[in-house]
Amino acid sequence: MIEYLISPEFLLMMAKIVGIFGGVMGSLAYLTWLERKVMARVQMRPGPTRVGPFGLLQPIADGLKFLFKEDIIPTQANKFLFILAPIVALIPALLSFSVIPFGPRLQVADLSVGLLFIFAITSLGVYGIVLGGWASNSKYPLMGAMRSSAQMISYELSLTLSVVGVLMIANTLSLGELVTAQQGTWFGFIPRWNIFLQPVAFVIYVVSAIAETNRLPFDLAESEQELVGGWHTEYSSMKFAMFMLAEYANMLTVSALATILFLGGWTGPAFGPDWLRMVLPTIWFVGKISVFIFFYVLLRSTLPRFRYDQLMKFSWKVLLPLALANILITSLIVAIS
Amino acid sequence: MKAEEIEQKREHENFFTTSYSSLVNWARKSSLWPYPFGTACCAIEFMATVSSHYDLARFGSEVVRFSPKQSDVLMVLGTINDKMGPVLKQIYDQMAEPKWVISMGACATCGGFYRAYHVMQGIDEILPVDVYIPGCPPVPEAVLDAIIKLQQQVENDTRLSYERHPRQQRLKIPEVDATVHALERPPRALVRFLEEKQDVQGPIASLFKERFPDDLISMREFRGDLSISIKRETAKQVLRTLKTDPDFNFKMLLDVTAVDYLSERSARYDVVYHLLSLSNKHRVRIKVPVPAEDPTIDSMFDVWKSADWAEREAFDMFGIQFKGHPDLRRILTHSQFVGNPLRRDFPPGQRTLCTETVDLPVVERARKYAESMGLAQPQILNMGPQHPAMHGTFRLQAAVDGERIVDADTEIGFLHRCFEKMSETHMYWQVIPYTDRLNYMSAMMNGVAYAMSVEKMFGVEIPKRAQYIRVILSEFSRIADHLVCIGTNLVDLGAISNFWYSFRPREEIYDLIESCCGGRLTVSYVRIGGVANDVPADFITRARALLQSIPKYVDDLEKLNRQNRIFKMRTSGITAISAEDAIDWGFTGPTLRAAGVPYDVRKWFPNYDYDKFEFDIPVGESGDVFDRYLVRMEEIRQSLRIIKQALENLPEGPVQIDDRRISLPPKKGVYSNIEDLMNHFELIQDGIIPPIGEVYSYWEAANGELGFYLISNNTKRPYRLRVRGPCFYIFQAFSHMVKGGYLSDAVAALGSLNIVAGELEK
Ligand code: SF4
Repeated sequence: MIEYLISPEFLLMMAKIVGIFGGVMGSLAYLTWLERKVMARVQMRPGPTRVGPFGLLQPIADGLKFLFKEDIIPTQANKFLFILAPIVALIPALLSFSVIPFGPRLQVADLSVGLLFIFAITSLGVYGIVLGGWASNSKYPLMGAMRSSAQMISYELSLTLSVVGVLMIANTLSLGELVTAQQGTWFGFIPRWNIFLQPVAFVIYVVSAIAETNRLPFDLAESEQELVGGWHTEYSSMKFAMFMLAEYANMLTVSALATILFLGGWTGPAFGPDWLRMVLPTIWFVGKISVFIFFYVLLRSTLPRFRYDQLMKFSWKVLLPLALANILITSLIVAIS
Repeated sequence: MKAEEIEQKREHENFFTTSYSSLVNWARKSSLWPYPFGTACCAIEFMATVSSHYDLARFGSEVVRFSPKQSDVLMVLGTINDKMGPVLKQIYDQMAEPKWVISMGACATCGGFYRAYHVMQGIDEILPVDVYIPGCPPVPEAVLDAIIKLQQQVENDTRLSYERHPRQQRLKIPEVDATVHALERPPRALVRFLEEKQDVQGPIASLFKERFPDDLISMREFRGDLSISIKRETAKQVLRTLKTDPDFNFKMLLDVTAVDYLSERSARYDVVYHLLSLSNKHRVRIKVPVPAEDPTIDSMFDVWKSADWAEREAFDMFGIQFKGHPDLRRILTHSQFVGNPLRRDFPPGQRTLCTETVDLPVVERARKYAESMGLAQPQILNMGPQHPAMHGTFRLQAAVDGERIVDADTEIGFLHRCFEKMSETHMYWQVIPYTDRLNYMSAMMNGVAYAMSVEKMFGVEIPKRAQYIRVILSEFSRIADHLVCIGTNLVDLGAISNFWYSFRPREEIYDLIESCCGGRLTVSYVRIGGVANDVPADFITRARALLQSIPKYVDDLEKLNRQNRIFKMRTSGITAISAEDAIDWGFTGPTLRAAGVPYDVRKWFPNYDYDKFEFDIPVGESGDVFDRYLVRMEEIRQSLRIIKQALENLPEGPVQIDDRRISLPPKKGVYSNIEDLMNHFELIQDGIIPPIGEVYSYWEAANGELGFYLISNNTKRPYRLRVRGPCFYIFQAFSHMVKGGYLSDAVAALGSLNIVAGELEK
């Protein structure tokens, strides 16, 4: 046992875990900064500038403040579930990063069913929201939770279905293999990314992913102007921060997944000295994710939100049939060739 | 331990705790998330602080949370009245420690100039306040300054853990304000004037005499206003005929109110109806005397729906019972209020403690209904008054079935600031600042409408230049008002950036207004008889520059939204209202025009050369949220057209009328001759004293017809000043319009109606 604990594989594994989770947690905090800054620019204003240079210390101040804020548990709330909910929301959201390949070897665990693992674990997140909304024993959170569970269940369907086409082409569920399958180019200049084979699936995926993560224009569960704060109205202090972190973590996960499934993950031109070749894939990967995140923020700052029934209709009457048709056509083509 | 050692140890501890606490304090001060408890005009200036010109986000304070649990600073923005007190207290109690309170504006700090029966004289009656911001309203810079001050306070705070705030206070019984104004001379002369018999000619008058010879008490025409007194017993039939008979065709009931003549008249009260016939372009005022011993009259609710709230208000303010009214409750004052404040013998400063917020009738209705149908207990959802979509002051209580609203009721009065009582206790020119705070989105227009009513009482016309200045600035205000309405409406739909896009041109308009009078929001620029001073020399250039820049912003907004599928889905067909219903409810302004009725005071009853300007009245078809948006957008363009023409033709000349009853004599005269000196003295001392009479004057404000019904007793204070705010009539239909729709529709609809609390609740 002790031997294993000091063996190089274990130490490497630990280093990866610490590195990846540290990086993820840090980027989650800075996602909030990015979002505030980008939105500010869209809205013709500077955004945070006072706390640290360019407001860079803002997320740290916010986080610290939450740590030292009074933690209120409403008297009518179900105490156990009320405390459990943010944990249930945050842990699965973070767990999914364990199978995401940030680079050729930069992956905590390359499960052979990595994709399934992610889908399984992220769908647990909705329980956090539902429990939180229900345990608060208050009307707005309850309505937020109801909206969110309905929404997440519907969109999860189209989200999962949209990637079936990709899987049929790649013939694997391992995320690492999915990426390596997309290496290389067609005709020497078009990268062999799945987006070119599965454009419809890509669009469906992105739309459902935004809905999955409760972001505008699908942020009905939270919708400030209607439900005050949605499911987390009654949460304060660190618990609220945990919900927020979970939301951003989910955003990151779906963007990472989109990159892996459709945009070739960490693949990209490699050049320069050895050390550069080592880090370039990770840079490509992070770069592609950033594009998604940026897109998310832009959407949030331009679009109005759907109404509840319109949202459901959109999922069941538009996205789902489209995803099914996509699967049908893909399987036909795969069968013929 | 020796004393030295103890000292040393303590220092050591201090070292650790100070660096630790300074870290915590740094985090706290850098992340002050506000809870905007916005109620009135100050909230609008707070919104300006968030907008691009000032950007509160720089301090890390832009994360406005509407859940008290997640915010750090309670920003009290605007007047808090007795009805709102318990709500404010509750929100404060729900906030997590550490928490701070900023009191913005004179009202929140000390009641401002509302020393009145329903206004809390400063929130420190119930809350501990950390920073006070002076001003009415404070400029955005002052708000930023307050945030910095608070940051300094937080930085120097030595407490590590916060227990519940030690300074928390209980609600205490308000004292009666000692500055109660003495009653004016009894209205003897006024009553004599009103009762004097007059033989009135004219189409409506002769027709009326012919049709209702027995019901008529008297008739009088003053400054072109026809007013008819009729008997109480048959009032309902007469009024019904006036509505349905095609010869009269008074389809719209503009206003219902009452007047108190004390014991000077055998029947103490008059219930006053203002009617408008859209097809004949006629107006008439019907008055029904009601005695003090039996203050009852038939309700007109089943004739015109618009009588609903107005009658409730007359009940609340005068204690007049409207027989047959379906829901006669207090409307503006709180449920525990004692007395009828607009009676002349009610002391203006007499407050009553309010400790509770009551359920609305919908709760009982829904419960009964569920019982009779054998259903489960209904789900009741309370929205507001402190709900982000309810703009801080309205309350909607709804019985919901999932996301659908089955039944709903609205409650108002959380910003009732006693405008009418305040104007009765102030001199004519002192009323102008109060009018600014009615519809504070476009304060200029209220001032114009009020000044017009006093000018009408005098029967004078103001100089052309003053008229044009009023027109130009009013149209600019209309643009600003529409922009804010559209911006906030879109924010309620979730399209947040539109807030910044629409506030930007609005700020530019404010710069222009500020250059004329020094005020941004509450301008006090209008004077009876003209405007306060001439516009600055570069006025025309600045205004022209605005004419260039505003269309750009408007086009951007249009591009972003008009073709947006989601926006269309969220707005088309939502709370559509037919033209008949809209008229019946007393809608005016853009909401009425969106329903397809092209009624606009500027075209139908033009004054100030509006008949010479070329402009169109945009009308919608279905009266839904989308049409309201389109109408407002187009009105912005039309206003720009009007401004362009007015700027081209802006005449030279004085901006104040040359009438010694109204405006001060020139300084030269005051120093050189006794007549002017006396005149100056009298005007300063006694103010403007209009002749005895009563007039109703009206003006197309941004929300619709803004009317002032003024009764003068030939003293320096108005005997009665009634304001007919367009919002009041629009909002009463709200709870009916949202029934059957989704919750989100109610939110979308409210923003599109442009309800401004100051005007709605007076
Ligand atoms: S009157 Fe309006 S602007 Fe003045 S302090 Fe009160 S809320 Fe603020």
